[in-house]
Amino acid sequence: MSRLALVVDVVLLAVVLSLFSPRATGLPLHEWIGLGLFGIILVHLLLSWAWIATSTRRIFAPGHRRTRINLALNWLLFVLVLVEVVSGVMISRVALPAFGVATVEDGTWRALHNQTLNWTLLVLGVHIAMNWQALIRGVQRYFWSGARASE
Amino acid sequence: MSERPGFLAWLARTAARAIVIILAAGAVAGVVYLLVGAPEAAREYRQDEVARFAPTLAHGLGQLAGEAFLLALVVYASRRWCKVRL
Repeated sequence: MSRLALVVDVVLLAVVLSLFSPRATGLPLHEWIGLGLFGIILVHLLLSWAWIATSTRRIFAPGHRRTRINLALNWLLFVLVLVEVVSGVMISRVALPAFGVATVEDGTWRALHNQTLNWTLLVLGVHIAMNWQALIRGVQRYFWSGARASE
Repeated sequence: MSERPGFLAWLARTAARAIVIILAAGAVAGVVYLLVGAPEAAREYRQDEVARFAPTLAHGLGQLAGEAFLLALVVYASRRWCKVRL
């Protein structure tokens, strides 16, 4: 894991946690951060491209059960986050109207937005758990050892 | 100047990958939109969500801490009890 990938991951986690807490940010900031989320995810995916490409090539190869499960989990997380973003755009009260787009606060889209959130949190937790060792190694390599060396 | 072709190749490769991701995202968004349909006035939800989520320090910090705790709990349970790892 590169230093940039680790920084992007930490920023992404902070952004997602802030999105999970609209009472901390308020609805306007929640919507603007939500719109920006896709950009950060795009960078996150581009930095993980080598893994995505390798895993996709191995999907039908024998003996890669964990890779297949991890890839399926990552796809599920991608879909869940997209459902969150799309449903959030549909029920936007601040961001889209600011661009002159009239929105209808549709109850069905709102229910989808709220219910998908729970599944997103669950799958995100499993995603972090799955990549925990890589995260810890990255923190130790780029931050912890650097901090100790400068003491 | 000798690095320019390398940079352009990297840029083209990154752009191509970004397009793949955006197309995949568009496909997912399209399917969700087809399933749920366009927002309709008949299904309108009438509550002032801006007022409802007016940020307050106690509520905000409480929710942030709660969500962070829930996420940490899922990570812990996945690793400790479900043995989730690569």
